[in-house]
Amino acid sequence: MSTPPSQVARRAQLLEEVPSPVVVIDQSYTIVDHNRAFAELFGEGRGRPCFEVTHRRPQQCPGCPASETFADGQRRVLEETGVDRSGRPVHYLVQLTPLRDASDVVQYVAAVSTDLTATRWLQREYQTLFDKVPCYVTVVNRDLRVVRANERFRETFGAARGEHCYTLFKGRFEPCEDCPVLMTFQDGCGHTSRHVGVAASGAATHYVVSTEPLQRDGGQVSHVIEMALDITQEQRLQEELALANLLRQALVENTPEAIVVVDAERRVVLTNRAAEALLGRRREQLLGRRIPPGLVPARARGVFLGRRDSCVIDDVELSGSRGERIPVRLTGVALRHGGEHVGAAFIARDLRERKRLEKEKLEAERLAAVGQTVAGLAHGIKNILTGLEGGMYVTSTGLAKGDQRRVQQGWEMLERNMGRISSLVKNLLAFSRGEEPRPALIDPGAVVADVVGLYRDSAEQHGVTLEAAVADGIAPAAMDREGLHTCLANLVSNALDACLVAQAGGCSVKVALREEEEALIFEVSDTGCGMDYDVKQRAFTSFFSTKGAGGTGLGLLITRKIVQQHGGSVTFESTPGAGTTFRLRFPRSRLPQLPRGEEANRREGVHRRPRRTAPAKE
Amino acid sequence: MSSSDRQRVPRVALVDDEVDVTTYLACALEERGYQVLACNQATAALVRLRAFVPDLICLDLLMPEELGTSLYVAVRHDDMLAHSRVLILSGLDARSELASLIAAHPELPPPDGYIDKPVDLAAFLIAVDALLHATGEVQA
Repeated sequence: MSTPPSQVARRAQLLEEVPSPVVVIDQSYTIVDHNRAFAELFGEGRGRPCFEVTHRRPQQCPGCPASETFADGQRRVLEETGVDRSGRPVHYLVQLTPLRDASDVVQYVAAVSTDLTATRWLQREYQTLFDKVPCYVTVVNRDLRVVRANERFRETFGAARGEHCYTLFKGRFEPCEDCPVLMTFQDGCGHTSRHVGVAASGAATHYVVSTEPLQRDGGQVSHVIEMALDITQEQRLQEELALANLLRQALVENTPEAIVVVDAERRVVLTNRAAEALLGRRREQLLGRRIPPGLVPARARGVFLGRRDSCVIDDVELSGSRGERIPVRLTGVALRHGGEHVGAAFIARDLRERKRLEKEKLEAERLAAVGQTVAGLAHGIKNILTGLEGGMYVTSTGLAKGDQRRVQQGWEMLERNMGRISSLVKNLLAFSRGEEPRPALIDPGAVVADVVGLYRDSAEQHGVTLEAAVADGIAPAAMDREGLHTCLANLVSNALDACLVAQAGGCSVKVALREEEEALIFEVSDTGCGMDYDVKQRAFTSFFSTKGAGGTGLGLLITRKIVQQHGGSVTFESTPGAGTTFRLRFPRSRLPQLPRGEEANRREGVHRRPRRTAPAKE
Repeated sequence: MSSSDRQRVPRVALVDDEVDVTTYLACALEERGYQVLACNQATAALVRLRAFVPDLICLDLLMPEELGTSLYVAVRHDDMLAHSRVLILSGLDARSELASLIAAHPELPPPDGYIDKPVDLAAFLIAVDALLHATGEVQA
């Protein structure tokens, strides 16, 4: 029974087209035929020994499976590693089939190969993935015993195949209550839960477990793969963050300073209890909303808009919820992240209490001054009384003895002490007159010019140089013109006296006016005798005078009273033999309020421009 | 002491920049028969004191420009005035002033008496009489 030629041709074509390499060798291991797929893998091989073509060997391979098939006539399937036409190793599964002749002798062996190279790569990739994936991977059977564990797991929990997963992960002797593996065995679904295990090192290990069922055979889950992601680091960071947040919150909430933080859109993102109290608004009324305009003073806008890094405004007013003005010390800090403006933080210190204390202190000082004044007054009057007593005594002695000289002397004493009483009363009236200053918008420089003009002749007569130094551009201020005049006149008069006592030639007195940090500063300096410690201590004591009968001891007291009524302060420096400088400082923000009409003028800017020349006398 | 010394009229000097005070006290002291020198210029006082050689110097310690204290130091260091007693005519402030002065000059003897200002005439005269009596200038 022979095969028809058409069928032979068809079979040959079929062999040629099979996508797997097929080769036929004879008993001398010489390739008698192969298809195209074989040639593509190993190259043309007809007439050459198979070991040379597929393994690049000079002689037959040791343990050659084909020789066994020639011997026993059995089919064989085995894995082989050969060398392809380019010299690269190639893995394939080969099936050896004996081809027999009519007498049943195996004349040829046909080898059909399946290329395994790609599969091998996949296997290796899978193994690498399994071992190196950044989580602990285990395969657990129905007894909850670990049948496979990846490298990462073994490194952390120790290598142990066949042990229970709960022992390996947590050192327990029974399954965990919330075991996700058991749940997966029960319902065949994946589960995820958080756990804390104990690493081989003894350290607590936080991880998130996800389980997946494996090998469904007829609906039965035989194994579960457990993938645990280590979150110990994250857990620690979270704990640190929580602690940092707790600290921040404790600090922010309990600081006595009001804190308001806004984002780049100027919406409030953080505030505290002190801010609620200061601004009279609950935080729900602030958070997430645009910051009310009354809470950002003009001078803080640069920080608010991210144009300036920070600002500190010593005394500024914010608007409370009911429109009330709240004096605060405001610190602003622009917030930047990676060079980008992300918002601003404002810290406000409530100055109301301080202002109240300042006011109380001022009041206490005023009362103390009244007490000192009364004591001093009694002393001053007693001195005058002694003078009068003496005058009467001398007069009566003179009269009794008919001594005209005595009578004259006594009479002069009486007259002199009557004069002292008159002068004292006049000064007392000046001291007590006008409880409140009567402010008007005046040019402070003009008052300096007036006072210097008033004393110029007297200074010249005594050889003292008197000059004024008024800085340019001093804006008008709401002050009591007469009061300021009295203050400067008192200081200039004292300075001239100090020059006369010094009895040295070339003395000078300078009256200066300048503006610093929104405060007017008047300085009267002399190069006269200066004051020693004792005189300095008593400079502002009522009825203390270094001028003998020439002074009432009220000048500096009156000066200080007027300055304080203007919200200002008096300080002085003095060196015996070198001179004295008295300084009057008037912060503009504390000057008295103008009467209503004047205020309107001021708003309209009528007096805004500083006057460079002294105005006509008011 | 010689009898001529004993019969000599006691001399009292008043040093105070307030004319009213010296006029008043001088008048009263003269009424009591003392020989009186009144000085209102502290700067010229030392020369006049040396010429007068008083038995008692009544000194206002708190004259301007420390003239009172420097005069006290000068008087106490002056050989010609070695026998002069010193009565301080000043308020309470003068005592602390003197205390610091003596601290600075340990060799300085303290004053022989104090009279507060404003001066009470009766108290002043008692103090003056007592000091002069103690020196034997006034006979009992």
